[in-house]
Amino acid sequence: MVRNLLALTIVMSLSVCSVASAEDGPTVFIHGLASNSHTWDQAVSRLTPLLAMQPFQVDLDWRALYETQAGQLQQQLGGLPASVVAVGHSNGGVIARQWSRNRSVGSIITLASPNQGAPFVDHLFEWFTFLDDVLNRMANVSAAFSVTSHDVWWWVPDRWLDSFHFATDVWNTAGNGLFSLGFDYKLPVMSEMRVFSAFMGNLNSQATRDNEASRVANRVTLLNVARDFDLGGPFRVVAPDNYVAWHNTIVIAGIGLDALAQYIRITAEVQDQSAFDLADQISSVAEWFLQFELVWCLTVSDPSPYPLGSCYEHDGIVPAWSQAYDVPRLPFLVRDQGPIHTQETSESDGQLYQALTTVAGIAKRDPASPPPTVDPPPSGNPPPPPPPSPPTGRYKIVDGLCVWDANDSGPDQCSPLPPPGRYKFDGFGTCYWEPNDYPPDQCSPPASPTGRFKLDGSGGCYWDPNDSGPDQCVP
Amino acid sequence: MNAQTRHPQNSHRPSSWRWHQAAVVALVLGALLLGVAPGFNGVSTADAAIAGWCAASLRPVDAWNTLTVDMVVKRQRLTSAGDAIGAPTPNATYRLERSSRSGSWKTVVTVLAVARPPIYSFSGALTSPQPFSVARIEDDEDGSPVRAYGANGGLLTPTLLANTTASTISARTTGQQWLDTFVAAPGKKTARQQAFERTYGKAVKAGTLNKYARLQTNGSDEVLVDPKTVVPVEANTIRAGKRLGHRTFLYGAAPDSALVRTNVHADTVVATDTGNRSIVDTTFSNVCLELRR
Repeated sequence: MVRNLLALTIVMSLSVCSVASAEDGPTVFIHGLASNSHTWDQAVSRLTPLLAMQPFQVDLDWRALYETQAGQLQQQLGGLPASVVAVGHSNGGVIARQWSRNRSVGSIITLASPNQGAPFVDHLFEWFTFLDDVLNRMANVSAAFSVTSHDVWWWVPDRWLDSFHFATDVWNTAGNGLFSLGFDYKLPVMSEMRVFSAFMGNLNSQATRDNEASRVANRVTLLNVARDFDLGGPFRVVAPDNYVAWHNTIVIAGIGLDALAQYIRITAEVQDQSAFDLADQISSVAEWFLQFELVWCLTVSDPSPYPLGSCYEHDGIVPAWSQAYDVPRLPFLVRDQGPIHTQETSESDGQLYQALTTVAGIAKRDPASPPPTVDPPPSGNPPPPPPPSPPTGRYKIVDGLCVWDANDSGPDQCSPLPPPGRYKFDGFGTCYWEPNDYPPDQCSPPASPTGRFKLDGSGGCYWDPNDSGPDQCVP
Repeated sequence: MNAQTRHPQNSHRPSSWRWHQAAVVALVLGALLLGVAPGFNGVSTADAAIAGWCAASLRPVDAWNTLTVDMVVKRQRLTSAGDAIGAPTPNATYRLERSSRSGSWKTVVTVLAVARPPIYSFSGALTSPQPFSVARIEDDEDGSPVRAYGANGGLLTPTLLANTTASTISARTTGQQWLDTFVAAPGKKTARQQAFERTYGKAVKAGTLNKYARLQTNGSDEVLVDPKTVVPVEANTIRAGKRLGHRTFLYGAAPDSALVRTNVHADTVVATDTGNRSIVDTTFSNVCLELRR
């Protein structure tokens, strides 16, 4: 049944693209987590009239392991020629890479894919622990209020009531919203999505990357940093049309509760210690609101498997550092102020067009027709046109090389500098230096030995410069 | 300041340590009152050097209608062993202003600073977080919803808050007596003592301090008070033999030999099974009384 539906989807996508011809290059569009083939409908319908490509949109079991989904892809489209172009959004990009390990693929284009893993999977437990904690904190406020003098503090619940209702909404909506986006660590694919999973370790090993580079002639990663990615926490992606309202209300609730706590601390009678308890508990809920957006950023972008560390630019779900891989051998097109993760397939025409024409070698149907110069603006909120300005220059990909174009403007398409290297985990918990990669570090460098005096086994004491720790003896 | 090192918590710590700690606090208070920070009597406006008190402030006994206080709030979660847990909480600096120009008090809390951790770009470079979007909260203290304003002065609409209006509209505080709780005047020492005794009964001596205590279900609440000034220096919540809450108070000198609260440090067990603790440290400074038209 499922297979029939998949076949029907493919047939439908072919019939829609009436402009396609036998010479058009087969191009497979692969969806990601909690998505389906229709996520690509808009981009395919707009790009197919412009480019000589024959699009294929497939439905995969997005819950399954990467290898399983790649197998499904091969089962459905294994007959396509070796020149096939694979375009994958989010997990679809990783599936494209996995697909290329078992068959010939001409080009791979990954759009905002967690190529080096998705930190949110590593930190999902911490996130939901944080989310649930607001219920405890609010319960503590109620408990603290119950022992205060209600003759004095009768008005306080009125002041926290709205914020507490809102906190419950946040807890409920963020939890359910994320679940609907596939944030469920019981899904099989989740175990492989971890930054330090064996799958990711293998996929990104030097040998696999070398193999991929030799087998796939054309590769490019499309990086996207969403505008306002740090506003609203998960609501940036759960409620992309309303995230500013969530952001404002979260901050107002936090500051409002903090103000309430301060008011109590200033005006409480000195003997009224229960009022100070109440202020502390209200302050604790304020703290939760003020931490909310930061904790989300840490959850989705912190590369460390350890407790939450640092916040990195992301697209709502996948950090930019993970969207890239095999840098600098593999070029990337960076888009700043881009759409949120769930809207990338329909709002990245410009990036896709550029990647398909300059990297994948897809011909333009009408060489004279202009490309989509900008990606479609977000629905309902078109940005004002930028004022004309002289070109500022930028690095661009030309014939596979990264060159400086002084007569162009915009974000760099590539980085001309050699990679500075970074510390990475090898998948087995060992931290090593990877010279052909870019920051951020995934782990702290191993401490260099400081030396120490040690016993030699026969009563002697000697200096071992290649060891660390407390001296075992005194020379 | 690291809350852990400043206020080491251990419910099994020998009681002599607590008395020693309390004695030090009392010593500092005593020194202040005995003239280490002299010249408070008879000043019409406060000395700029008075800790916590702003230079241009009126005295509490003067006619004033506006109090402003700067507050720094630091929060942290710790394990029972004192290790930090969870995400860091941004330190927040506020200015609280209570004013009464038409007989009723209003409170305005201005956000002076909220520290925000940096964000790293793809290449590892630091980028600045977006500016904090709320600049001010206004509360008319009449039951109407609080108002929030952005950095550009515009009213922010928290569209996702229900904004329920209180059914009862009544002033929370009248007159200026509420300041007595924040600025402890020597002349109101007896009143403070009577207030403690009404709540806790008679005090017992505990080292150099007076201890007020009352039994609660499965435990007790106690407040340690400096006998010379009758201001609390420490409060403890004890349940099932364990100290679950510990709060300390610090004071600075105010005009007319009064004391102004400069710090409240609370260390509370938030999960009895794990012993995880919540630290809230609030520092008050730049306390100012003004008469505004």
